[in-house]
Amino acid sequence: SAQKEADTRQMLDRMIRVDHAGEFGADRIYAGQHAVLRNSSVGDLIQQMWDQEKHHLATFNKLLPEHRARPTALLPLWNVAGFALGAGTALLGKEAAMACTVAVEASITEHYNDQIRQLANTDKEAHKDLIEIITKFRDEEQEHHDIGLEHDAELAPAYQALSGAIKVGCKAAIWLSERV
Amino acid sequence: MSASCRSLIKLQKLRIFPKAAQTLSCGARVNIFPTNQNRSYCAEVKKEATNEPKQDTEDVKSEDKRPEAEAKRTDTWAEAELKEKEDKQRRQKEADREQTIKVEILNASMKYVTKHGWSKLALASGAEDLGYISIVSGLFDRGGEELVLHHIKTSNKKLDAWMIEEVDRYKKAEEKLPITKFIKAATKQRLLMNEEFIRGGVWGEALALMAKPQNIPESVGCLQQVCDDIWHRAGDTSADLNWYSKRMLLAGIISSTEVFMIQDLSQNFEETWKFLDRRFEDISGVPQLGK
Repeated sequence: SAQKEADTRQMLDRMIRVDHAGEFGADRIYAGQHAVLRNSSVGDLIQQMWDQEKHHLATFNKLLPEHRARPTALLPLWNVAGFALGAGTALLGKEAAMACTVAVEASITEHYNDQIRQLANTDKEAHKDLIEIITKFRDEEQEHHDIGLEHDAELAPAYQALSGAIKVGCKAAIWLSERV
Repeated sequence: MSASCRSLIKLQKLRIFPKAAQTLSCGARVNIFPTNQNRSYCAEVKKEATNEPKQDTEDVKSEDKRPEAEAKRTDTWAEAELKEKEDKQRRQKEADREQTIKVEILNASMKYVTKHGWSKLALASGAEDLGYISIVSGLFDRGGEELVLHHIKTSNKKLDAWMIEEVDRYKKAEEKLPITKFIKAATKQRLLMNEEFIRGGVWGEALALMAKPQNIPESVGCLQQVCDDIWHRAGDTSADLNWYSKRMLLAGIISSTEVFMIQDLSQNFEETWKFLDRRFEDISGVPQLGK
């Protein structure tokens, strides 16, 4: 059971690290989008979604020392890459910005679902609080995804290619942040 | 006989695919099931075929057989699963027992280290104290290095317990924890746990053993652990790269002071504490530390 404890510790350590990295990246993506589109018709919408992400990031900033998890060493990379992705897609137009939102939020929702399943399979009672938090965040990310679709994400140029590329990038970022 | 049957019999003779050959002997229609289940199922089918008189039509009989055979098959699987779980539990218990014995021997061997160094001889002497024969020291394939690691890990645990008490003390006195002072005190406390071996002249050997390439992952891991413990108890809540800079700077201070301490002959290690103060001064200029 010492082995089981060590396994649980490693699982939690990875989860909190990757979630923290994810919310940090999402915060930077919205910052990039807002920097370009702040005066457009979707400026307020982006601001609203950004505020919710800021709340997510603050929660994980608190959870990190609570669980004695290590933050990912790639934070400076996600800082730059997130802002570049947000600003880049925003420069392609507001539909592209929404497409980026849709792709990122879809990735994150799937990732949170996997985590909830993993936590529930390990020990539902012990991880009740964490499951609750992640469920709430997953629902909010799903909301962002739906808002993005409502606002003409699919009318973006090369929507399938853009969306596919962003999802692959998110998967790679998740894999790296879990380990580095 | 078909070509496939002939080839399977050839394989049986060659003993390459004995399981496939068993399938053949049961009857080709059942070879989709896993082998041991296959055999019991075949056994059931054969028994039922010989016991019951062939009165009803073939279709009705095969349908009657199927739910019973089905139930029996599930039982065999459940049994196998249960047996596997019991096996796993038994192996876990044995591993735990071996671990407990190892820890007892390590604890008992500590007092022989200044006499025999970090060696299997010290382990054998400790084992003999506990009533085991000396050859039990063969449990430790890395010999003396496991003694060093054991000392490091138990000292780290003792330090953690000491730090928890200190933090409680400050909390009861309702004072704010002075971070630099606390970290310095924790470092001193931890380094003093090596005193017995430094005075005995064997700590240099211990550090050299820990610097061997095959031991570096574990010894660096222990150093990381102790730095994380110290910063965590000091109340660090950083969630960015400061997490890394704080711990790495502390790791540098602790390891350099540890090496200095080996050659320090002063009273009560005064020179070492002065060295430690100078190291803390060096990093006080780093702004991120926010001490």
